[in-house]
Amino acid sequence: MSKKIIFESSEGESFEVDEAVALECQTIKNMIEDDCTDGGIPLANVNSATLTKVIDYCKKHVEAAAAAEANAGDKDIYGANKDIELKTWDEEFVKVDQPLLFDLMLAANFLIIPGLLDLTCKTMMRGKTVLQIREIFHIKKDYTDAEEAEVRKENAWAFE
Amino acid sequence: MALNFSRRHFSSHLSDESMKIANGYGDSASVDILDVLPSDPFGMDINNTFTAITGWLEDLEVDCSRYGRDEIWVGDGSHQLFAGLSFIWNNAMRFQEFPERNVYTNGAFLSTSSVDEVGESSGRCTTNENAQVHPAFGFCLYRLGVKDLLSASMVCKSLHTTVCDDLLLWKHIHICQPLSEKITDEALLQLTERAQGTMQCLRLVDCSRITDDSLKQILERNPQVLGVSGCTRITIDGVLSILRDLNSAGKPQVKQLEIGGIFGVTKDHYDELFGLLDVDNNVEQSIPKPRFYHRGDSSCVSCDDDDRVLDIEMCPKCQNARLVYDCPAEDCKGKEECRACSLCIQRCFQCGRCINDSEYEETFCLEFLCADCSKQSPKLPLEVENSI
Repeated sequence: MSKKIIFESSEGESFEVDEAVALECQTIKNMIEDDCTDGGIPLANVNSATLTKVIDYCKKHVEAAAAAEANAGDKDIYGANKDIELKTWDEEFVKVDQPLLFDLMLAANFLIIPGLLDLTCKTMMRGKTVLQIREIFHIKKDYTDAEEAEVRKENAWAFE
Repeated sequence: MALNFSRRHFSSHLSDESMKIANGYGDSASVDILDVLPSDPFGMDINNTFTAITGWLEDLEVDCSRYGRDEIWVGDGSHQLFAGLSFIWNNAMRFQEFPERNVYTNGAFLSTSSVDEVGESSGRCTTNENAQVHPAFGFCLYRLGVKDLLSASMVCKSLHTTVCDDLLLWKHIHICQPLSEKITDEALLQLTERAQGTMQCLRLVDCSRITDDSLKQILERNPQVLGVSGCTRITIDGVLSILRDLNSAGKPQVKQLEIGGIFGVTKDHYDELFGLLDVDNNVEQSIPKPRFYHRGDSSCVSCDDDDRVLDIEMCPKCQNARLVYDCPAEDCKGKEECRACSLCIQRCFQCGRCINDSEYEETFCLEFLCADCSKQSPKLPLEVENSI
């Protein structure tokens, strides 16, 4: 039986996960190494919905890593299919509404899960147009028309 | 159309405009009806195609993997035919493979009037401009590619300052599709300038407009990893002379170099390159990860993807310095016989397995697909990524 770690969300709900899963989070890993995880880890800035998703993500990635390990040897460097499967899973995983995506991002940053942070950031910003970015992040345009034309000219080569 | 294929017309000192004229309509200064016609009436991206053609002509023994197939091209007297074919063909390829890239940002600046409404109706824009930008925004910037960073810099003033002044954002510059064909020397210099000399890694993939000159300027501020795969205007002699200069000036050396797809690399070049690169003996001893032929993958690699000092090697079969691929097929795995450049062994462009003697299919853009891959729906990882 592997060791269990207990997370406590901001609502006070408890989540029990395998230590291996919890180790995906660098922050928790440090805590486990320092042996201060008894009695649960309170995560005051992560709510239950987000925590559920985060645990899902870690579980999946631990499983995928274990599966890759299982077909070890040279099989695993040739196992491109596995990567694609995990990628597809990731894509599905981030098909959530925007507030949750933001929360996931913050949680990933706080718990230090580089993969998840990367994934959420890319989903949020990659390939977005200027207008979309303004909309998503509620940023108001403070350029005058002339200034905007200037900036646009500066980067015109990329957007022709 | 009378084409002038002379290499000299593609010199980096000519502006794009004069290039068009020199390329398309001969050298005559007289008023010819042709001079008045638009140089690229159908938006077929004629400049890039020409650049590609120069490359082809410069060295018929090119590594064809970037554009397609080999063998057909070996005949010596067929330059004209050859060029004509690749002209049509490159365009055809672009249409099929990257259907959404050109359309991608067309809508970006069409209307700016709606923005304020969006901001205000959401009720989250305070009078203190943009004070409530989501805290998560900061993390995002460090994970964006060049194109997205440029978009971000156009969003508002403070973002523009952040993007332009933050050295860390420009430490690693990777230019791949869809910017490859668009980036010019000038634009690249501008971007690399933002790192103010702290740049570590520059990777250009298929950037057909970038020349030796700008590369030299950039390398003087020393990125340690340099990739110029498929940049047809970069020459091996240019790269070598830059490395030699760096060496003799006692400046920090390039640690990793990617020059796959650059034409005319000979054995002598290859040996000299090894002498010039800052080769760490310990690193060299580790066995490099196998490399598979895969068109989709080559467009963007991450920095820690490859630990090879030099990406090309001597092909075990033809003894030319090229990208050498391993075979992922079950029965060839790890066998030396199936390690060769893409000219010696034809490979499936999806999974990279060799297709000698087995069933295969030829796609519209003259790539080969092995029987297994053609059964599955042809969904490239590249496309998956774009649809996010």
